[in-house]
Amino acid sequence: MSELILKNVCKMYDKKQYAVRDFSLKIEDGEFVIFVGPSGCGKSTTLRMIAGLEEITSGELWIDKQLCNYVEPKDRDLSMVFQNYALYPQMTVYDNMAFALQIRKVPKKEIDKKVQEAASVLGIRHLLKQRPGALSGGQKQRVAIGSAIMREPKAFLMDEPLSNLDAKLRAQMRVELSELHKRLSATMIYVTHDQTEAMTLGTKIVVMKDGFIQQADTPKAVYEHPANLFVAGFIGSPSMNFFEGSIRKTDKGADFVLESGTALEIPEDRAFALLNEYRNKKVILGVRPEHFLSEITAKDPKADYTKRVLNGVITTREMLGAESMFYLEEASAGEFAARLPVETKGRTRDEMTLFVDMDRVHFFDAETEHNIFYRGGQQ
Amino acid sequence: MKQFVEKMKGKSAYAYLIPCFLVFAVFLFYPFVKTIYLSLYKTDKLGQAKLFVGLENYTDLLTSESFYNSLFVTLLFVVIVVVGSMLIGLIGAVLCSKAFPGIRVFSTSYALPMAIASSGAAMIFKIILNPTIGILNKLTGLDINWIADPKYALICVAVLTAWLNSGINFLYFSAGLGNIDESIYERASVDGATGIQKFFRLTLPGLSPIMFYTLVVNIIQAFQSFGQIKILTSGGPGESTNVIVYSIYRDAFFNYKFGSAAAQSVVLFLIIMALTLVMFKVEKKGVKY
Repeated sequence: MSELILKNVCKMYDKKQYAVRDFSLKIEDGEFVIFVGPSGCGKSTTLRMIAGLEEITSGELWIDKQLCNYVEPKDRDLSMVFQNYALYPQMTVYDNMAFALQIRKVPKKEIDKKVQEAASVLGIRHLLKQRPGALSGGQKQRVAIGSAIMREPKAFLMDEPLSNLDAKLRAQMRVELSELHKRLSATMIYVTHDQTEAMTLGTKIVVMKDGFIQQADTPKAVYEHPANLFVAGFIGSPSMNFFEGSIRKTDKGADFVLESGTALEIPEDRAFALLNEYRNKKVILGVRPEHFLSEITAKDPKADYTKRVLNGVITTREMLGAESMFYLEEASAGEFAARLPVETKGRTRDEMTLFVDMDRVHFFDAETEHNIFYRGGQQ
Repeated sequence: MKQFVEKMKGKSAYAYLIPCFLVFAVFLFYPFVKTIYLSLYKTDKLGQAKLFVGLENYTDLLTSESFYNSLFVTLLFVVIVVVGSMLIGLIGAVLCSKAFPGIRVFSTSYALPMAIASSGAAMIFKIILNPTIGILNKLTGLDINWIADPKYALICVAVLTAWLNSGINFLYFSAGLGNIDESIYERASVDGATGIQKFFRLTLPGLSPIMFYTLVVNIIQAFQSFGQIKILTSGGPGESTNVIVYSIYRDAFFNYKFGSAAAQSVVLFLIIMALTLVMFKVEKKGVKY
């Protein structure tokens, strides 16, 4: 096992277009790192550069204190699970799993032991004699993972391995992958565009957009302290609501004022800082759906919730089981979503009053889109 | 009446087969049957069956040294041609499967033999192999009468035929290589496979279905080569390049022994059919789709 260091790694196509830019990251031994971002953000390209399948245009890749920019993929001692699984169609499942060992001339007995072991862990022993063509998506995926864990490589690379599976299977495999990581305590780098996968699997999330790292931190930190507007909107489902408005000074402190004139009182600890720099300037307020409170739950006596109220007309209501999603329309801010207890009353086209948990909202600079209160994170 | 119409409905499908069947009948079935028929007769100079001799044509063949020579020459010829043409096609296709500048020029030149008439190629080879003015002797500094020497004549014709047949093989193999998923090579690289391991473990098995098809077609084609032999060596020197097809031609149109020629045709047909059947049997074991 090992540590990987990427220093200012860039990938340029056709000498003009950057796919990945200044990617710097340190991956410690045993970490489960997730590259997440919308398609085309460069996450797969970065993974393929680590694997050696794409050339690194500039920057350095260090694996175990060895500079690996020009090391052949076969000599990097990594193993990779591909999005389409890349099983060898002419070989049986057994040979597929054994391939990496066979070409290393490992004794047959040892190979057999390892294959049987991995196959029972993944529950594919009965498939060993089949060929990939006869397998279902989930089975193929297990075989691909089985082939990857035959060796003890320096790191496992996974390129959207769950994207071809249906929702139920995906949830199941997610749990299995997480257990696998614990069992092998291996370094894993995992690419996905699914933020749920990123949140549940990773010990560190690297959010990417347009080839740049937006934020790299633990799932909790990324969720609670997003570095900018993009990360805030990308991580979390349903995504964060954004309201444009400005900061206005009041007797007590400061208010966030929407275009419609609705004012939300900003808690003291933040009011001062906002007044200093953003007085009468445009800012964007970010509120997660779960940080709206209906009347029933807003009985916290310490806070003055009456000045932190947002009104809206219900456009849609979705039952999620324990909770309900409300989609509301506000006069100037447009549509926003709130996650409320299932017993909350309200029908479509009803007017609704919601309290905003102002201690947990985020403020973003309208121009730079940075989180005003974000103070770096561990890189 | 109604019953009759009902009955005919299912059988109307046969009507659509008639045009195709007619063409086959005239150009395939009739000559085929006629050949078998002729092989049982002695004929006159116009090829008319005159005297029924039963299996005498066959027994004559099986006791004739010349026929066994023909069989041996044909076999050798087929082996060289099939191995040669498939190797050239495969190597060309593998070399051209990677994109590099000028690839079109190379692809075209590898596929080109397909477009050359065998007789034309034979004429060119005749000049190349000419002992006094041929470029081959000039370049190698050798002094060999390639076509007139029984030791080399067969190899020359076979190599020419291999080259001629390699064009279409190149196309088949290129298509086959294009069908192999690129990502399995990527996985193999990460798994630690070398280029040679990838070729033998991934490329060859991936090509096996198309390889089998090419093999069958190539063997049949090699057995039936005629034009280049006719022009380059005319079966000579001696009988060193007298393959069965050429022997048939010579017996029928020079010696006017149509009966014997027909018998040889039937034997050739049996050999090719037997080989094809054997190959299809083997295919079930060896070819992985």
